[in-house]
Amino acid sequence: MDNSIETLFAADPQLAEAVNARLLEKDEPVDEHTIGILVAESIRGLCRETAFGWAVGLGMVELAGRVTPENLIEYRNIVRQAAREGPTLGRIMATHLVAVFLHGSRALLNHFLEVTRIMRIKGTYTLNRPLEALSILLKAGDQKSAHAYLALLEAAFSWQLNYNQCLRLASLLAEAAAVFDGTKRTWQLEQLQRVIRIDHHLGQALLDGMQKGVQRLDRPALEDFVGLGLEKYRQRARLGSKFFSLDSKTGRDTCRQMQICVGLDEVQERLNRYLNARTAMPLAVRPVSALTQKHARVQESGPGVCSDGRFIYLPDEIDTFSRRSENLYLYQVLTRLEAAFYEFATFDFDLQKALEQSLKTSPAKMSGALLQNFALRLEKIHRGDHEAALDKGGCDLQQFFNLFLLPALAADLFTIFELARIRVLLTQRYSGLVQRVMPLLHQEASAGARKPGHPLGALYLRLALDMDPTGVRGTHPRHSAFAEKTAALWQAAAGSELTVETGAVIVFQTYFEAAALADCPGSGLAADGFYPPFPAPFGWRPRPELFRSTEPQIDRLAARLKAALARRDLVVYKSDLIIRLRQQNGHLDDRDIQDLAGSPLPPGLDLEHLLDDADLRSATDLHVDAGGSPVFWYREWDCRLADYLQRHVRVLERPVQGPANGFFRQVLRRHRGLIQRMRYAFEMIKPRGLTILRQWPDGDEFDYRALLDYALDRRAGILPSDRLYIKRVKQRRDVAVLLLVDLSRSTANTVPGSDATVLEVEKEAIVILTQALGVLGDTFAIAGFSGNGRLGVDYFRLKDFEENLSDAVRRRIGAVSAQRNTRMGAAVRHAAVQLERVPARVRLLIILGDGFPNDLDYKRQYAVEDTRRALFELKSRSIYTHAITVNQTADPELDNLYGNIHHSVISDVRQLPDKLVWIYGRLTRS
Amino acid sequence: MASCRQMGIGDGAGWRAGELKMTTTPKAHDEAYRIDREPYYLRTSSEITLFETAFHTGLPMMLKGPTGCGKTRFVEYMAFRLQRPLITVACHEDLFASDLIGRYLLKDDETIWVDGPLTRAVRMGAICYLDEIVEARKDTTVVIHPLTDNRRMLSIDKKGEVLQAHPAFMMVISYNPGYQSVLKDLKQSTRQRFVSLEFDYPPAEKEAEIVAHEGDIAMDTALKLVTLAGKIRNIREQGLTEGASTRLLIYAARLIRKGIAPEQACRCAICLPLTDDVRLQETMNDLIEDVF
Repeated sequence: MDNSIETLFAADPQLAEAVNARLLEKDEPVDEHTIGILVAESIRGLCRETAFGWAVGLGMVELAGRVTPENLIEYRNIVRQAAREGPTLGRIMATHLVAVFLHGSRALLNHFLEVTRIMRIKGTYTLNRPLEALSILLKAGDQKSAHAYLALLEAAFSWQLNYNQCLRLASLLAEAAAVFDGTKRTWQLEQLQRVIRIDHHLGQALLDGMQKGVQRLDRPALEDFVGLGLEKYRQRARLGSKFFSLDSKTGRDTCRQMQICVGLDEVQERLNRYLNARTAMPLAVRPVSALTQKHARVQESGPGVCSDGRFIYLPDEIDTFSRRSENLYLYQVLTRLEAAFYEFATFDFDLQKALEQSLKTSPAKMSGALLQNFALRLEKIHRGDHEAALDKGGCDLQQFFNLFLLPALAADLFTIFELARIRVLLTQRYSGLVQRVMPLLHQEASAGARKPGHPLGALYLRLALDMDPTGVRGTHPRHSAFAEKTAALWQAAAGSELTVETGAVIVFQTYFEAAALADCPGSGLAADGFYPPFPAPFGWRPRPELFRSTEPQIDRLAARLKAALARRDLVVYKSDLIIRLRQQNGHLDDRDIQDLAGSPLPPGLDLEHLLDDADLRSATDLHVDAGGSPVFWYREWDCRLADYLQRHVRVLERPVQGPANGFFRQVLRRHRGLIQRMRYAFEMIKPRGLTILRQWPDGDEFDYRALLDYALDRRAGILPSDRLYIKRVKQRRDVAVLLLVDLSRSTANTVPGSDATVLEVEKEAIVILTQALGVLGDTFAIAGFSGNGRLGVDYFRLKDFEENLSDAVRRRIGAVSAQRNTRMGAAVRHAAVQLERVPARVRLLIILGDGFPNDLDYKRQYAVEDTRRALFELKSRSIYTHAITVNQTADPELDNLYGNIHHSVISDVRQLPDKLVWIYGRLTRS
Repeated sequence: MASCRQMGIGDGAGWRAGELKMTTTPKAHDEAYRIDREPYYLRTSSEITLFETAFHTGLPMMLKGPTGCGKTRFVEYMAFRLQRPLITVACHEDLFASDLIGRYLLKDDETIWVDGPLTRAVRMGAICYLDEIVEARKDTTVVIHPLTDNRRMLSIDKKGEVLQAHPAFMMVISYNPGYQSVLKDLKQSTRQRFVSLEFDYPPAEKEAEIVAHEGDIAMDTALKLVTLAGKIRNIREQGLTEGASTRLLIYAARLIRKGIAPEQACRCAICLPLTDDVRLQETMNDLIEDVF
């Protein structure tokens, strides 16, 4: 430790240690003069305030040796000058000037000083967060954005602002710099500045708009959008603000029209529906940002795709093309391509089949080591080795690659052969898709070919894209020759039967030649033992390292069963077992095993023995005490997984018992006027039994009036009508309705201007509705529900369909009270089961609630999506639904939840008794 | 009038033709319901053997299956194969017992009795095919009960006549279990009088063969249509009540045959009839684009 640092050690040993540690990390030793300045300034700072001293010390050590001595002195002077206004300002400047000196230019420094001067006028408190954001920009090397950001701060803090406005702006602008996307940040900040120059309030509006879609506009579009917004603002300030925040329809429409960039969230649903249709598998798309960094290696530049067996990962947004429709189409193309791996069963690759087929074709010049590897592995499988069965080395594909010295090369070769197989299959089945997608792949591959030629580039062009590689620039003649030779091999193999294992066989045959090619002096690729993977266009290739089966239990069962069979010398392929298990929902019997083995099972051996042998008897189920209530399990839609969670929610049917409290009678008395009116109105709706159709061309009786006319016409020589009959048609109203009432805690709130709670008003409405239904003769049931986590959805049967409106039912309606939360999806599913049991022509579920579904782990979008899904399921089962939401203002999200024509909002719950009956009448009018 | 039109042979040529021929010889009457040319039908399993056995043992038959999967065509084919006349009634909710049994009509100055399609079938030993039986009113369905058990008789109350069914008479009903509401489910007392055959869309290759034959198009185009239908049937859970039927595929094939672009033909004949939901149509369009 040199003398100066020792001095600092005396003042603050921890700081001295920190400084020393950083000095030691430096590549070049720092001269003593600089250290002297550093120590002196640090001690000076420490004397004012510890934090200031630390900021100076660490700032100067950061700069030492990386900036000129003049710059260091300048840093010192600026910090000193700032510190004159207080150590806090000194500390802020000492901290944030570092990035400016290290990564900025002279112009940026001047700009920085000018902006901080303006901000200091408002108060030192305005500096911290915005300057932190600036340092982050500079450290990221984004000088342009840093300039734009400083200009934005300047514009914002040049306004006359009060303390709160300053605080809000400081945090808002810091946040803006952090959230804007790196490639668009500079001009997005410039446009934000343009807006703030006109009115600082508009900044918030534009940032709100950014989150809703404005961030997807490209530069010219954003400039136009801001221009239009400002024009609107000049006409009327409020309109302009709503335009920027996309709260106005014009704003939303304009933004949509201008958008070129497409976000995955915009197309996710469409792509999921497509995947579901195309593959009939529970596959869904997800943004690639959801993948870990390690696995996100999709494509170094440009959009790409990969998948893991459950999800297809796509770019969060695409703006590759100048037209929105083209960007949208690219999403579709990537999804279509990746779906092919699942449709054509790439991941059903069976290692045993691949090894057996490869060894059959073993070329004479095959190296002993690889051959031995293959044979050993196959022997293990034949022996029924447990380890081999349990996929310790990843999925079969991955295990296959690992048998080679250069697994990455084997993977590349396999990828090319597999893509060739998929091209052939796609051409056979989806000619439209091939016509549209291949040009894009060609284009992408040609762009890739401009880079230094990868030894497998020519083979890729030749087989995966069916292109002639010889004409492509940068293709080495040796690569082309290898491509031609291998293509001939592939064609010969493909001629017989094209399975996923075909590719593996050719990998086995061509691996050494490809390795020699990769090692050739011209390419120099594998000279250091490192083989760089082939950059497939759009990163489109099977990624076995990511793959996880959607049905791991089936895979495990198949693997163990396969091993158990192998130990008894029965040859059954694992992939065949998996396919059979999938087809039969995880069930197998002796005949299946016999069928797959191609021979009868040895005497005394049956599936039971095999399963015991495979140690597969440990099925357990979730057991939770239900307190004696009937228990029902339902699935729940998880929008994040885009899949159902099977048997996820437990619904308990709870009894409701209450004393005779006269509630029902009181309501009837209180609303007798309404009930009388309602009875009259409903009598009008009620069908009148038989309708008589007179002068009908056929029927059960003669219509004598028509007969008379007939006789008269004949007498008069006129051609008589043949409409001489009476027909009686019985009209029947056949409606079953279940009224499902949300009993969440919030229904215990009192209604403004009244002593009654929301639930009490709802109950009154129910009482009146029962009278209406009595007039119509509709079958009806009433139930309440409440949620307390996924294992505690309570369902209260207040009146069953077959029950009369007995005293017990009246007591139950009177006794029901507000409970906990709203797990609506499960309640709706349970109600649907009740409704389905009723033999009625029209089945209707009316949901009466006071807000959005909400429960433990069941919030916002998740809850909305599950409820929507449940309602969707009802629709497909021909059950009509109508939701009535009380005590809420109309919210567009309710349209999203229930569908815009399937719900009513009654903002004032007091109107419910009147309106419920009216809504019901409208819904069921014949 | 509407109810008459809905009856397959109610006011159409068959019914009227039948009336006129009542006055002529029974032989000629029978001929009107015979199927002259062999309808195209591709066997998918043992359904033909089963039907023939039911016919020869006097058992009524119930055909279950989705819309447009070939139930009616099968009955026509069997009628031809067994050389029996076929009387088809498309059931609907206003179908009265008298519509099946018969009624008195005024003809010139006389009141004359006219047999309904069921009576006629019973008399002549035809195959009586009640299509979509669950659409008929419950009280109407009951009249078939005595015909479909060991009694094999039909009681005509208005005439006070009890008809013993012709030995070759066979009752065949069809319905679509997926499409009907619980209300329209068949009563057990009706169900348990029939032997039943379940129909579904044929396996892809057979379906393509059917589409190619009926639509008179090349096999590869038919295969594409079938591939498309397979994909569309996968989206049933997303809100489609029924998948694309073989009948719709044949319609598309016929449009293609007449020179309509395949994409457009599929949109008009498959996509639009199936749903009004814009998002589902969008997905179907995506699939059409892939296939053609």
